[in-house]
Amino acid sequence: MPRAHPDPPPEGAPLGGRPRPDGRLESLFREFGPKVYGLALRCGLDPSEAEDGVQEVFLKVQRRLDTFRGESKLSTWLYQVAMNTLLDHRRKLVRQKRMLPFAAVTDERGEVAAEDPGAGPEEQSSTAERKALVRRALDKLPRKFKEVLVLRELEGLSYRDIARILGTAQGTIESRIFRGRARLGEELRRLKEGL
Amino acid sequence: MNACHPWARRVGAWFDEEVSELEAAEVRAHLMDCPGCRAAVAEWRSLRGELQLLQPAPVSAEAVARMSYRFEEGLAGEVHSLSRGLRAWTMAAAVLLAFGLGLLMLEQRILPADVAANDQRDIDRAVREILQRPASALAADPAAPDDGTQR
Repeated sequence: MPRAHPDPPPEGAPLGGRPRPDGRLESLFREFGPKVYGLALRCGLDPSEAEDGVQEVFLKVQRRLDTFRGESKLSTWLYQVAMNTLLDHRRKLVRQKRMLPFAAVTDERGEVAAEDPGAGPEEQSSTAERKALVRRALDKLPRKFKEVLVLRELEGLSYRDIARILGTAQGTIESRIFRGRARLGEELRRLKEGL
Repeated sequence: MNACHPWARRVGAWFDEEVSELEAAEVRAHLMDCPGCRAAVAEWRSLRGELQLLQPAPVSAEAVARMSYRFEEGLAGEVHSLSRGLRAWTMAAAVLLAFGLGLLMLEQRILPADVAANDQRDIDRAVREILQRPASALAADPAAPDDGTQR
């Protein structure tokens, strides 16, 4: 069940003396916040948990920003922090059984998202079922396959970027993507046969 | 369906557009002759389509505002817990300081009294020694008072 979060005060309302993030962090949040939120959803978090995940990621970024030495692109470093944090966050949730590992993908209102809002109820239900099946198959994969497939197929990143984010050789990424696809195909077939 | 072993990874990289023009031409030529690799590519294409179902809708402005607000709240919480920790340490330091000062003051109050008591004991002991001396010794003592009284 998604948790209710407090609504932000109307724009321009005083923040009650709360500290504001410094300029660097604020601009990072503005630029990458929505991307990290999207990544969280793609990693299988529901919208409410994705917001928690984003917060966790940026609090971690805030604590570690001074340790960023500029050896990689800031976005690569941020993806690194985000990917680890979000997958750990999701694993914790699944362990705590607060979230079913096979949860259907839900929209911001916590409802099952429909690919085509104009589609009829039957079509919407079928799309939701297919989504749930894919999510379930993806969840069954070992983390090393899941993360490369999310970064490649859903984030659209190149092998080189994925290798940098995961701190692995490009050849390893190529191999993991190849094997990950094979495993995902098997899982999907197995799940469809079980229906 | 599996891609044929020697070509599998190259075909995978070609599918992801991660090969050079030359390699791409080689893979395309191979695909013409290899039904296994063609089937593998068709399956990957279908998987890609299935995975796209997991693409979330674009993030709404409300969600971004809510996250931004929560992020600032989280920062405030961190600062608050930091200041709470700082306050606890300050309190502990103040208590220790007060305790130390108290001990010091107590010691200073006791010490003069002690010293006074020691002085008094010294005087008593001296008096007792004088009283225990024989009378002849007292007569020979030029410091003895000459008032005719016996001690």
